Amino acid sequence: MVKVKTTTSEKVEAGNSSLYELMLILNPDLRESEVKKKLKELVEMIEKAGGRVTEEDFWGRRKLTYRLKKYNEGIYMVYNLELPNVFLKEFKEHLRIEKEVVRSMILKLPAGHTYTKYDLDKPIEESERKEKTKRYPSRNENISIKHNSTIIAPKKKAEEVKEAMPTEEPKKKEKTAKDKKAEPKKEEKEIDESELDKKLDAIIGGEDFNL
Amino acid sequence: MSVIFSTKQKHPLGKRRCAFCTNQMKHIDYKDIRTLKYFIDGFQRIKPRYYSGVCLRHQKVLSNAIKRSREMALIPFVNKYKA
Repeated sequence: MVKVKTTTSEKVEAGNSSLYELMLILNPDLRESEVKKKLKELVEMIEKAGGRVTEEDFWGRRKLTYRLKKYNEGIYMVYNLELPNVFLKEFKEHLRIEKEVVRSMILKLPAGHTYTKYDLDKPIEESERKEKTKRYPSRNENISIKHNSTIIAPKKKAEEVKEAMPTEEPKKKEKTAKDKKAEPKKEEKEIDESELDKKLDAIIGGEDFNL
Repeated sequence: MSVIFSTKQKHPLGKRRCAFCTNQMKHIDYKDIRTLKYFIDGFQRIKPRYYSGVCLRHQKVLSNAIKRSREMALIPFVNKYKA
């Protein structure tokens, strides 16, 4: 028995640490301050064991596509971690037992991985749909594109190209101007919601408050 | 990233190419729902290879990614039952 123990310990020590991706779904009934506290605890636990957080991405509240433990919503959080191999099993067990974690998943990252953020709920724009038709155009579409496309322009004389270029630029400017107009309205709403949340948290989260 | 995916059969069978090979993607992320949705059925099933034109190597990676995102409730297993 003693021999077996020594071999396992040696293997573990030799393995050092490797990179993982951790995704958490937290209980949606938690308040903002409680979520922060819970995540802080987790990070502290990781750092105590000799791990390291390389990337953080807070997704926030999201609808679940099916019910999980009687919840229809969840608070999503993604970490990229460097964990010592000894700690992994213990950490998984800890996440399983943790009450506020609805579901968790740890994956080993491939070599040379870089974290990318995705706009998940962004609808597919019309411009992308147009690109698709450009890629596989039918016979009729092909002719119409040839007249307007900039790809064929360089074949013409240099003077014609110069004339063609300035006409396109103002269109882009108009688009950007429209975007700028549209953006501040959204921001105001978000700010209002976030302020409301903070105020509510301050009221409910106080120690004097009892139900 | 301006990656273009199209699973519609506009090309004849022989000329269709794998969308991941043309975009040179080796690793398919389970968090990238928008691209995964192109390869899912109306019944939320993984589209077969002869329909989407994905090569065998990428189909295996893709199916893993879809299953992982299902596990984390980002993509449904089945459509919701509506009475």
